[in-house]
Formats: sequence, structure tokens, C-alpha cells
Amino acid sequence: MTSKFLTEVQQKVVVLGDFSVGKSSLILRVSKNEFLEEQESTIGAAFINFSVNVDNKPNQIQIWDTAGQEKFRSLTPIYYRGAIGAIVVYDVSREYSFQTAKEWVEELKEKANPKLIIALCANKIDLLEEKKKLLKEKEYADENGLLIYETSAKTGKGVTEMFVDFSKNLPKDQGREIFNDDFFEEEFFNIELHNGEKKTEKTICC
Amino acid sequence: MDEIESKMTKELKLEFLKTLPSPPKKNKAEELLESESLLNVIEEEEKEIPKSEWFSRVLKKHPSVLETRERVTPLTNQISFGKLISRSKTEVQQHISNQVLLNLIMQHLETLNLGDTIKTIEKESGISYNEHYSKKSRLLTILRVGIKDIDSVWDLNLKYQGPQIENDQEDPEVEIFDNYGLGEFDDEDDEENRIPDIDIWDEPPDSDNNVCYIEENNKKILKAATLNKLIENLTNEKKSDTDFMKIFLMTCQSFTTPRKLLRKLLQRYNVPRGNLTLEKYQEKKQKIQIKVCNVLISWIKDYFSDFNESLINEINNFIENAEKTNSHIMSIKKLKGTLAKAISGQSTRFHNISYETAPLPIVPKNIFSPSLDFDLVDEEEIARQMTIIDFEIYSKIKPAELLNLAWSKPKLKHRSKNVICLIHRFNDVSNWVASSIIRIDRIKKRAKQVIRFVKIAEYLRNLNNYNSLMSVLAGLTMSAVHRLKFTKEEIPKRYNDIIESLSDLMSTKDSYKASRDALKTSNPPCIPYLGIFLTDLTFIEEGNNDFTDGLINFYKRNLIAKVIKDVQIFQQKRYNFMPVMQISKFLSNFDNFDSDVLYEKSLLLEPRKCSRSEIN
Repeated sequence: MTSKFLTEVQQKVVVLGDFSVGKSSLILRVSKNEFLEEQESTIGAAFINFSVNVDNKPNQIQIWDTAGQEKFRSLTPIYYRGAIGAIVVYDVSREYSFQTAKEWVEELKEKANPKLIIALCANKIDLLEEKKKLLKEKEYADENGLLIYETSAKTGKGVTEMFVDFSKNLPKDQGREIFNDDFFEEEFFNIELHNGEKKTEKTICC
Repeated sequence: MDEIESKMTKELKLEFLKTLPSPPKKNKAEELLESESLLNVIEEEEKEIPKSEWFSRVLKKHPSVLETRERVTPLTNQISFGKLISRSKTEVQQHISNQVLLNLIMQHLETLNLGDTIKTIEKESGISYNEHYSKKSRLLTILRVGIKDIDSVWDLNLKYQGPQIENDQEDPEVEIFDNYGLGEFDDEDDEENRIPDIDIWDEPPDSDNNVCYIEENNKKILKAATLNKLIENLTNEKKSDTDFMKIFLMTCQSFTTPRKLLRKLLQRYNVPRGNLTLEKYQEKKQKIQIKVCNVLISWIKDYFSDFNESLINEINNFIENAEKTNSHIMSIKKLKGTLAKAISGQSTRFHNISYETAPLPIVPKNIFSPSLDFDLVDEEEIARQMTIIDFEIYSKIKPAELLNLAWSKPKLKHRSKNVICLIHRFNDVSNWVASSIIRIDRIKKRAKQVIRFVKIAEYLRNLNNYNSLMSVLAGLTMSAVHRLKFTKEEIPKRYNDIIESLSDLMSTKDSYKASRDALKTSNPPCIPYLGIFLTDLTFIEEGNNDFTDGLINFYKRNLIAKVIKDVQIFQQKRYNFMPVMQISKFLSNFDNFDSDVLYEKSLLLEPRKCSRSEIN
């Protein structure tokens, strides 16, 4: 176990959202970009790795995608457990998907790692009228301490920028502590983390 | 709409009257008296029979009423359908009078060549049918326009709530679509109307404009083509390519409709002579016609569910005509036989039946007692019974369910009923696991319950039931269970080790690499975790265009067919277990908590920041 933690210092980022908001398109778009290190194949690219230089240090990011499996609701904790970042995607042309995004944010805030960095991604902005400025969404992001990005997986606008900027916002010291691919380890087996969790709960209460 | 319903009932009443044995001819006055008294008889009977049973009695007594009713189902169900589709939009009522509606229906019936039914409706309703210039059903067109906006409606009104889906219970949305036969026409895209149809024999010869090949492993592969060219290739008189045919038939619903495909095949059957010599023409004609028949035979054999009544009629007409012209009697005979078999419901598909005797179920002594305690049922038997239920659903998944990401799209959902059923089953099982644990108040007993599920998970693993294994693990990982750290401390290490190794196996890491590898080495019977396939399909669908330069991207269908084949491999071999009704009853009717309730209860069991000593 220990050696695994020492050798693989990666940060897990999960991409969540309603069906057909463009999650897989975002992943496909970013995977076609240069900084992609490896990719299994276009088939089953359920997650990809890439590294971003932050302060001249490479930062390994692992993106986990739930594309195609949105309806397996009971499975989603497995996805976000152990993640240090979550990107909640919604489709600006579908009001309903923003509601779902809000539900996601609430669930993450209540049940996921309290230190989780959450970003709201307004996708398909190519379908948006110029004048609309996503005021309501920005306000919501502000209130809830979320990062917010505007992207278009179709044109590629803002996609790479989002992933790079988001990685930069992830706490650098957390990769080792939290990364694991196993959904039980974190709190189930790792006692250190129990303490960690308690601490944060305290700060929330104060 | 209410009016229509009551009118219908009145009409049915009349129909009922008519069906009673009629007395010998009498004069008009007598007749009138007679019918009056008949009415009285009925009314008297009515008094005795509760009104709710009245209708079913009519249907029972006279099947023709049932038939009429079935033909006009959309009419009788209109109200509930309307309420469901558009709660706020009532203004339409004022625009659609009975007359308009009945005319729409009659026009629809005309497109189906049901002239007698139209006459009957005219007679009974007193509304005469105004013929319409359009040869297409206007009713369908209007409904089609209606369901265009359906996305948002499903989103708002029909979010799946809680565990309701049992074994053969269907998704409410699926059911609605089935009831209204909407599934039949939704896929007749606008495509069909927009692109002018070229007769297959007028299609120009191969060029970059209609067909495109690529080289792969020294093999020439058809990459993209027009529908005509694809069908030409399918029925090519010079070469035979069964792989191509399999992929084509498996995925055809993603680029055409069964109706259009059938029309094209029949078009292809009618080979024109052109400027060929009689001899050459005969030869070419015969070869192509045999090919067309072969395609039809395979299609009917493997995908009979693609065919609705009117398509079957079309094939029957075709067979009749072909028999008259006496061409290739063998092929036509075979086609006729295949069709008859398929209609009579005989499965033409070979199912691997095991001749070994099934292992004896492990049951508690009081298995027949009504007070059978589920907690006493052996974990292995639970895993077996779960597997029987899962396989039943999994084995029913049809290729069309996996096309166009239908399971996730409100408009296409009705196509994927087994996929959706399996997903609901998955969530229900996870919920059941969590609920069963949370339900127990005392920590020691609760820990035992966790252990019980770990054992079940292990048995599921040994049975190669990865779908339920994943679902049970998800149940153990649900936030409500996951946070019970003191309960977990009560669990012996070796069970934790089992969880760990099973979780490694089902890990989403490297795109489910561990699970994929395990699947490759598993001997069927086996139930893979469906989600992996759904993710793969999502990436193929999103990463490739349906059309390239106006041609059907067949390469994409190749990729999709590969995934579908993987799904099918494991549908072939069944599990050889005996179903035990007393146990499966518990497993198909869960009494689950809502996920919010689960979490609240979990907080009560082990409150935040409490110490071990505070918990019993």
C-alpha cells in the first residue's frame, strides 16, 4: 500500500453532470490536445491522465468521467470518493440541466470530501445568445464558492483553459493523501484521514 | 376529452346491445318495444352488477368490442396521455372537436387501408369522413410534432422516483410509448422527408459521392456510403460478406428505419432489365433476388422485433406476389417458413441449454412456511437467485437498445426497456443493501449484516455476476453506509480484505481495466457490468459523426457493433439454477428507504462527532 502511495502521486478529478450535457465531448476534446500523455483508446476513455506544470512542477491529473452511466445513480459516490476536484457540467441551452448541476453540487458538499474543489462548467456556450451573461449562474457559483468556466466542446473554446486553470487551483499537497483508486480505502482503512475529516468538520462548525 | 370517453362508453353500450341475439323480424313498433325492454333488462342487470365490472363483462361477452377498443386506444387514453404530456396546455381542447379528432383517426386508418373500420366509425358516430389529400397519416404527423418537445416534459414530470421497477414491470415512460405505439414512428426521422429518395436502381455507379472505402490490415473496408450503396453491397450478386450483413442488421436502426429498409430491399428485388441480354438478365436477377431473400431471412430470424404488423403485411404481400410470378420458389418458400415461425413465436435463436441437472437450491427447512425469515436464507442461494433475475433482464437486451445512446435520451428511451430495467435493478439492489444495513439499530447486528453482504458479493464474484457485484459494492459505498466508521471497526479484517480485493476488481481505474481483464478470462455464464459497455458506446457515439460528407458513416457502426457483440456473447449461455420463488420474492420486491432517509437514519445511528461508547 505504502509504496503505491509513494509512486503514484496523482490527483483525481471527477466530471459529473446530467446526461448529454457534453461530458464525454469535453473529455474527447481535451484528449485531442497536445498535453495528453496517454490514452487507452477512444473506446472506453473513461478517464485520462495529463500533467500540467504548476510552479515548474508537473502535476499529474486524472480525469474520471461518468459518461453513459449517469443513470447508475447508486454508483456515483464511487466516482467522487477520493477525488480532490469535481467539475460539474451543465448545458446552457437546457435550463433543467442547471437544476441537476445544483443537486450535484449539494450532494458533493454534503457527502463528499469536505476539501473538494468544485467547479461549475457552463458548456455549449456556442448555443448561447451573445447578450446572456450567465448572471444567475455566476451568482450561484459565488455564493457557493465554486469556480466557474464557460466552454464549448464543439468549438473547443475554453476547454483546455478550463482543465489547466482548474488543475492550478487544486491543493498541491493533497494528491498523495487522497489519491486512491479504491473506494473504501480513504475512510475505511486509512486512519489518518479519519482525523483529517474530523478537523475539517470542526472548522465548518466554527 | 371527457366527452369523448363518455361517448365511447355509450357507443360500446350500443355495440353491446347489437351483439345480443336478435329476435325474428318484427315490425318497427315491435322492434322498438323489444329494444326498449332489452335496455330494461340490461339496466336491471346493471343494478346487480357493480358498475366497475360492467365494462369488463362487455369485453368478455363480445370480443369484437375489445377489438374495436384496441383499434382506437389512443382515443380512450387521450385524457391521461394529455395530462401527462402537457398539464398546462388545455387550450387545445377547444380546437379539437370530436369531429376533428375522429376525422384525424379515420384518416390515419385510411393510410392503414382499414376502410371497413372507417365505415363502422362513420356509422356509429354519425360523423362523416372528409377525405384528405395527404397520403401520410396526419395524426402521426401531429403527434410527431408533439413529441418533439417531449425532452423537457420528461425532464420535468417523469423523473424516475424511487425503486419501483420489478422484474417485468416496465419503466412508466417505456410503457406509455408502447401503449401508444409511438415507438413505431418516432424514428421515421425528418431525414426521410428531407432527403429526396433515389430509387436504388437509379443510384449512380460508385464514386466519391456515394461510397468511400479505407484500407485496414490489407482489407478494403467500406467506410461510408449512401443507403442505396450499403444495400447494394448487402445484396451484391458478385460477393458475399456475412460480417457486413451482421453489422448492418445489428445497427441499421441507427441510420434508417425498418420500414425504409424493407422498401429498399423490395426495390432491390425488382431488378430492371436495362440493356442486358435476356440470358444475362435472368442470371443477374436470380442472384440478386436470392440475396435479397437471404437478407430478409436473417433479418427476420435475428431481429423479429423490428417488424410491426404493417411490415409483416408488406412482406406477406411480397411473398404472395413472388409466388405468383413463380420466381426462385425455394428462397421464397424459406422466407415464408421463417416468417411463419417467427410469428408463431418459435425462437429461431439457439439458446445454450444445459443438460446437466441444476444444483439443488440451498434452502432453510421452513422454506414453505409463510413466516420464512429472509435472514436465514443462505448467502450463496441469495446470490444465485439474484443472478437468475439479472440474467433474465440482461439476456433480453436487444441491439437496438444500445444504438444512438437511446437509454439516456428521453425521446428514444422506449427503445431501451431492458437496459433501463437493468439499470433500475442495479440501483434498487444498491439501495436494498444500504437499507438492509441502516435498518438495524444495534451496531453488532449491523456489522453482521455488512458481513452478510460481503459474503453475497463474494458469491456473486464466483458466479461471474459482475453487474450485481458492482451494485452490492455500490450499496456498501453509499454515503449513508460509508460513514458508519464504528460499524466498520466491528468487521473482522478478512472481510475487509475481501471488500478490498473485490473493489480492486471492479475499480474504475484505467477504464475498468481489471474488470475487463477478468471478463476476458471468465467462462460463461457471466453477466458483465453493463455500465462499461454504455460508457464505450457513449464515447464512440460522441467521438464519431453519424454522417461523413453526407454519407452514412459505416465505420462508426463497425465500432458500435463490436461493443454490441460483446454484450451478446454473454447472453448466449444461461445459468443453470433453479428459481426458488419464496426467495426471489424477497429479491424482487424491496422495501427500500429513500436515499435522503437513508442518510438521516445513518446520522441517527452514528451521529457526527460521537464516540464509540455512545453507540449500542
